[in-house]
Amino acid sequence: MTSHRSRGAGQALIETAITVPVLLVLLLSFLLAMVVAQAYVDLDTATSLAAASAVTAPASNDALSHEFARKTYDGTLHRSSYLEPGQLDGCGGYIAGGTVTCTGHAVLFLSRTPMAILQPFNADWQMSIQATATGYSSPYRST
Amino acid sequence: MLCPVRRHQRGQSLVEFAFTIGSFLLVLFGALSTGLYAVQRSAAVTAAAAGVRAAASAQSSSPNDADLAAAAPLVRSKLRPVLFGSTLTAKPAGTPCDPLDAIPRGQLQVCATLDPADDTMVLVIVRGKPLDLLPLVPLPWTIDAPAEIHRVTFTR
Repeated sequence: MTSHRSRGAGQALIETAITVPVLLVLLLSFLLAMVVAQAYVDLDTATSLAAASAVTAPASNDALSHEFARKTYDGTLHRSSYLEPGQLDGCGGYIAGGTVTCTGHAVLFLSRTPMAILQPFNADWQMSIQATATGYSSPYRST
Repeated sequence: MLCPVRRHQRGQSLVEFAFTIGSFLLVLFGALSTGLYAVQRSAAVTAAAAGVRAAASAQSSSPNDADLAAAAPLVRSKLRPVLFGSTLTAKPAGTPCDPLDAIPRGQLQVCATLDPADDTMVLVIVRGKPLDLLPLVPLPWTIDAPAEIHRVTFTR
């Protein structure tokens, strides 16, 4: 092989070695961003439903308001394979004509998603996320 | 006429170009497929939430019973713009969805039931396998979007 040809082959190898990892990182970044965004959508939905549920409880009954919200929050999230429901703050004390605001916390287990290939030796790769939502009572409700 | 060295270089450039454009298209289609799936899944989660709120309301003829049949039309109207060729089947009110493995590619199901573990809770699930829109990157996307809410109660 001439030195000119071997230099050309070496250059192609270096170009490929740079291009392929860059493209792979780009693709995996898209996927990671999507997984995190979807987790936020799920959490936001569960928190909104929890707040909506809390305002359907009898007025001035903190315990029942919170129970409705908690059951709704857990019920929506517990079927998820990568989200684990955590604390649910607020969500109590509905007063007639008022609103209820809930803040839901959850742990997103990235190690249980296909993104685990990014950290193959970290079986506990996770991130904490939270969402806040407000529930409004029905205008047809008398108390 | 090209000398052998220049001919070889042209062939090499062609192979490099084919490899680069192939990788680029793979990433591009992968990103597009991911984006479309994200839109579909987000819409399914939102639709299930809207459906479960409607289903948790009381029936006009029977205020003590949840209006499970109200979920499917609402879910359908919210999902229609993002079905991208997939079909949406509504299971009869009270009938659970099929397991994900039993649902063919290109089909989504919506089902509204009372939670088998707690009948004070109403459950709406949008489940299925959306159609592969980009055959170059047949990623095995699935949707399983549950939404559950406490039934609306009435006291005097």
